[in-house]
Amino acid sequence: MEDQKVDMFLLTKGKYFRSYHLSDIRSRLKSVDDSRGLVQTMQFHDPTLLLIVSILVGHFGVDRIMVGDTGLGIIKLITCGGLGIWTIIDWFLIMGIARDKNMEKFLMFV
Amino acid sequence: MPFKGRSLYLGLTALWVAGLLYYAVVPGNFCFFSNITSIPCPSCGATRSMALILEGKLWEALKMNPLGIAVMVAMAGFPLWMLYDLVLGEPTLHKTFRKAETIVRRKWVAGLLILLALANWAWNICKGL
Repeated sequence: MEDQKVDMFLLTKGKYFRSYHLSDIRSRLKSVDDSRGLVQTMQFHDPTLLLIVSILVGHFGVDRIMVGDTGLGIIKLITCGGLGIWTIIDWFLIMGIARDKNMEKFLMFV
Repeated sequence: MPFKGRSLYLGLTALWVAGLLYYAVVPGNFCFFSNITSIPCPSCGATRSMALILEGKLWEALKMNPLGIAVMVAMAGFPLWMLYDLVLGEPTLHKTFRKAETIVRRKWVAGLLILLALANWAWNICKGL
């Protein structure tokens, strides 16, 4: 992939990943052949949106379901947000979880 | 635990212990959502439902909150399943959990569960829990 496209990807989607992953992403993107432009169209979880969702409706497990942890989301719902404790813990964890899930998705493709 | 899914087992154990402590020690309603909004959440009444099950009043428990039955089954079954996995050295709970997640992700299953959750929530609000 061309350097310009790599820079564009990191500029637009760098916030979806943890900062220490960015150099690994850069080196992988440089070595990938993206003539069909599939990498650019990959959809990632927005950590900021998930934080807002977690604060507003995290009690119902919606934040966990949105990141793909469906089972945990259901358990969170039926335990009243893990008795409220899990709700609060996820306010602090959800952005990191979203970034980790994004990295897993990226690594599956690249 | 020497096998895959350690974080799931540890998380569920913590939840189980918290559930036991909540049932045994905490008086009144601890629901975060209902205390702030005055509207019951979908799982409000589950602990009271479990108390009714322990008294042998299954129909009253179902009317209080059907989720109480699910939580009761989970609270009773989880330590047994955990023990089974520890003895066997196989993460069968973790495997079943992952398989269940793929089933729940199917659109019709997810849609049905969402409808049931919303219906239960509406019923909770009507009951004035």
